[in-house]
Amino acid sequence: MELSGLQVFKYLPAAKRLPEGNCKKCGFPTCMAFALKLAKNQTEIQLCSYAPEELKEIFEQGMKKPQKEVFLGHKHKVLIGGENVLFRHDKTFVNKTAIAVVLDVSQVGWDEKFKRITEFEITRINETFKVDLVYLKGDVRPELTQKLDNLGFAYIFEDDLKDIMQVEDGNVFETIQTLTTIRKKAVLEKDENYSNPVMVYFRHDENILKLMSRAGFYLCKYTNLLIFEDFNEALISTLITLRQNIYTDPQKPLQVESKVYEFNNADENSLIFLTTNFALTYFAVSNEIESLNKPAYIVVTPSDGMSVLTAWSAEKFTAQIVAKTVNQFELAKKVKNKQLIIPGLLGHMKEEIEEALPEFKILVGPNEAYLLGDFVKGLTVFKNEDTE
Amino acid sequence: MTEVIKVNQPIREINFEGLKIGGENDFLGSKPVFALELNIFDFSASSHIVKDYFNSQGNQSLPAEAINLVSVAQETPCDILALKFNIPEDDLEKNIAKAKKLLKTLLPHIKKPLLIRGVNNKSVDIKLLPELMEVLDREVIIAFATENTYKEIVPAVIKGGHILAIRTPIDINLAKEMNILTSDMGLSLDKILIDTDMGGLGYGLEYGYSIMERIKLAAFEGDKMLNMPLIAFAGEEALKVKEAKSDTFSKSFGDFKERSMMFEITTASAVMAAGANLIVLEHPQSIEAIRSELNGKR
Ligand code: B12
Ligand code: SF4
Repeated sequence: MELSGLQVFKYLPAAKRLPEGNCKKCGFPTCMAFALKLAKNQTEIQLCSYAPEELKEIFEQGMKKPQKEVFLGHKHKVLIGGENVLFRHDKTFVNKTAIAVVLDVSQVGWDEKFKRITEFEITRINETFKVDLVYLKGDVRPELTQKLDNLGFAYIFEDDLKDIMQVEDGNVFETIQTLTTIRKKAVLEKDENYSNPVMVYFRHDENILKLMSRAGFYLCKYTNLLIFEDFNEALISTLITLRQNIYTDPQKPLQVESKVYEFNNADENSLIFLTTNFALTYFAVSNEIESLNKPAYIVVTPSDGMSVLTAWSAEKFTAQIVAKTVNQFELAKKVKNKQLIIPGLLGHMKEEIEEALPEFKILVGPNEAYLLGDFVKGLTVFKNEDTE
Repeated sequence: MTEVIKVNQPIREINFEGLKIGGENDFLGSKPVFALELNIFDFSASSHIVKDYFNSQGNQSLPAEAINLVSVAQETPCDILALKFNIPEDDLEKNIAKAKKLLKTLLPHIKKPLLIRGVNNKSVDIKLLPELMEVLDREVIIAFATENTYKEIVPAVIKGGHILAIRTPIDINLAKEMNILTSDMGLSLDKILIDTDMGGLGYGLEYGYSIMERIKLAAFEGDKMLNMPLIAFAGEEALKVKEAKSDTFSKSFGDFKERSMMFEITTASAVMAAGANLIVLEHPQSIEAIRSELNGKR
């Protein structure tokens, strides 16, 4: 519970017309002045010796952290916990749920598993991810930990998990209720008995799809650490994708700078593509363009970090904005190939954009970026002789 | 700071052909219901994993083929059968007549509760959905009306006594406004499903996720125009994304088919966590994987 200055004041001597009122011992001229500062957490309750117990308790409660942060790992470490909201839209989630995989050196084929775990790496929206933690079991030799250290991996042993609260991977409904209760106790009541980060340990499961359904669920509500005995690339990459979504800060959509980006040694004969500055959209397109291995430009409009259709609906992707962006970067001077490829979803804007940018021929691309490869195969260079 | 949420109003409970949808008074207070969706008019539009399951490429949309798809679908553990009449936009009159005939042929074969769906294109849906409703011989869920189509669709829904999913683009105020507007037309508030619209996993899922949570919170806190059950077309959105459609990814992204399944399952898990009451999926095994986990002991 947070109190306003006025609410704090009501507890203090001056409000209750007690003789100590406005005694200045706290260093402030009046109780009210003290109350206002206190409400903003700019001074400490202890400075007033007349403050009632009730008020002190409220502030002690307020000072407590909802959930503890814990570092896991030895040479390399991963931070988990520290969450202080129940819903991502309240603010944002802070430390991503760590994904750990068990490596038991007493099992046959562990070295093959080691290879797969350490080679695993995916990139989404310009972020690169690996397995966060390797959970070592069995008679682990120093050479192995040394190797993990050198490869930059954090690892843990059983003992490292003593500050983590484990919730059993039992019936999904019960598990989710337990996980929710713990997070509520931690966040709403700041109950210290529930302030440790929370984990679920997944034993080997024959049915990887069922395992996936539980893991996705527990990642959303509410785990700080997920440990898997099974290592399955599809499962981990899917889970990382979900985690990236859930942990994105809802206050600020990921954006890229509005400008002209160059790919594969762009030159005057390069293809030109147009898209918005929403990071998700931009990287979906740029990843494809990069792998085309053809020189290309991507013109990125200033669209408040909105996807193609969202930007169009919000009038952040109009023919005028497109023309302004293209002209601002003097693209017409840079290229001979005067054709601009627009997103297929905005095919209906072809004429408007042609009107606003008379030098360019507008080509309507495919609806989805991953179809760009096939699309560009049939393209030839187009030179607008009139304007040269 | 998060405030303590006073839970005092439950979500409305829709009783649909023996199924209870909604009715909870906290997140996950009731188990979601699952619908299996088929591209019944043109099955070839389905995802590669769905075609594999039904062992059909669906190149021809013959009634016999459609009947077969429906009978296979009904053997799976879904609660509701959802038929998407994905007709092309050209030659509208002719295709609507064809869709109508197809529905009529299928109805006697359909034993599970039914959901009927248009194509999400204004000029098609305002004609297609009312026409399809004319053939119906039972209460169904109609999906969906939007800000642009409700005026044409709602009267037929009321007349047939159906349930209507209303889609608004990830906007809590618009969702509320649409519930008010449609109920002003005479649609019972107990016959509405809120469709927040959503993006698939990795492609905007988080926006839909948060709007669902916000609608649920508003409902629990007492908003009577937002406490309808939520419907989420998780399968369609999930199977549309590149990871589920293209096998050009590196080894670390895992087996293509497995990953496609997982994208659908995980999208479903996420909307379930956010409070979805009716989850529409396209692969029977996705429903099975989630359902058995919800019901079973471990
Ligand atoms: C998430 C979302 C939002 C988020 C914003 C997310 C963001 N940062 O943009 C929020 C909730 C804020 C939002 C708001 C609105 N939204 Co919105 N939103 C969506 C949603 C669910 C997903 C969009 C997304 O992120 N897609 C993923 C990105 C990567 O896709 P993309 O940008 O299109 O890029 C792909 C392709 O276009 C292509 N591509 C991109 N660039 C290029 C370039 C070239 C050359 C080529 C060839 C291809 C290509 O490749 C990419 C990957 O394949 C869609 C519905 C849906 N399921 O798609 C609706 C949707 C886009 N929204 C819509 C609307 C109407 C709105 C609002 C106007 C609603 C309102 N009344 O408030 C507002 C407008 C914003 C405002 N005024 O503030 C409509 C647009 C309708 C239309 N124009 O046809 C949609 C389609 C929903 C619907 N069915 O009605 N929205
Ligand atoms: S010490 Fe306490 S009573 Fe005295 S002025 Fe400060 S707040 Fe008021």
